[in-house]
Amino acid sequence: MPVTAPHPPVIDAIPAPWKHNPSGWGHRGSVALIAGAACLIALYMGLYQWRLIDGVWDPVFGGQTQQVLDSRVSATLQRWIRLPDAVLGAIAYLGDVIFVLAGSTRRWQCRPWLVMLFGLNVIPLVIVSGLLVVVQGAVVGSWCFLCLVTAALSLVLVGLACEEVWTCFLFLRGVWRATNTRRTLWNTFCGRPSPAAHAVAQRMTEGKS
Amino acid sequence: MWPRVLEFVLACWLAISPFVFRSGAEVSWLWTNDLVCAFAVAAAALLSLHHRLHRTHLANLAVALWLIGLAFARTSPPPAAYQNDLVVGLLLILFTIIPSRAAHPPRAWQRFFEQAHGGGR
Repeated sequence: MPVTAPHPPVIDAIPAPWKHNPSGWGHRGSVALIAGAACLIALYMGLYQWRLIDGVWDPVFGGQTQQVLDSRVSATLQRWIRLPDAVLGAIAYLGDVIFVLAGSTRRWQCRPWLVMLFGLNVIPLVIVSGLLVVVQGAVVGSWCFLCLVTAALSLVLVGLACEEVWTCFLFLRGVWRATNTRRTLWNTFCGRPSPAAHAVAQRMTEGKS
Repeated sequence: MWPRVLEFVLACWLAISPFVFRSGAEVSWLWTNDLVCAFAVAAAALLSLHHRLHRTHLANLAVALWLIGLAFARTSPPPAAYQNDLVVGLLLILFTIIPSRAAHPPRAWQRFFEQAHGGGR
């Protein structure tokens, strides 16, 4: 049984080592906006690959964007994944939006699995975006302005996601060090409470709420 | 509750999909498949609104995998109707993973806070 403490925990508490809550709505809202913008840009390119629109706007490289989207690399990817690659990218960015909007402002403690899932969704996106940028220059020989924009947005997303994922990692590491049992660590990861996990979270937020 | 609402919207889209993507000789098969899947998704989403059945929406993962599998069973690239099923399947996975009371801490943690401190602020 947990020990009764005098003050209830603040859900929107600031965990160490930050000066703001990385699970707070302000931080997560900005991540959702950036991921949403990347999702719309990818969807716009996907609509062209589906031939639902006739062309793609590119103020820098002109027709090169269409050459990239119609390239053999893109066709090969479509054969593998059964969808235009830009559409799959749009779905992945939408995943970022959904995963960042779900959960309370204390989800780094109460739903670590969700924070880690968000991190796992963000990191492959930046790797794939980076690879596609390299392929554009090295294999296709053309450049796609909107692809470069989404790659840059992916980098920003990774930077922003790091804070919350790191907080979650510190919390889970604290639980592991306090209990040294895999079962408690797994239960904490799955969002099940324990006095030990709560004590670790309280220490992380002490004097910051 | 928003993930369940969005699952229900996806089910509605799946139900009208055969009107949008007519696919030659396969129309009757697509009708059956899409309507059965739409009914299953809508039913699981609505049942999850009941507090005792709040995890029923996880059954939608099976429907999602079925819809994705249909597209991969076809030669590539699959017809538009199957690409639509693939997109719906992928979106369904994204929504199904999210718990119903997503904006609040899990019930177990809330009960813990109440026992330990008399409720969270």
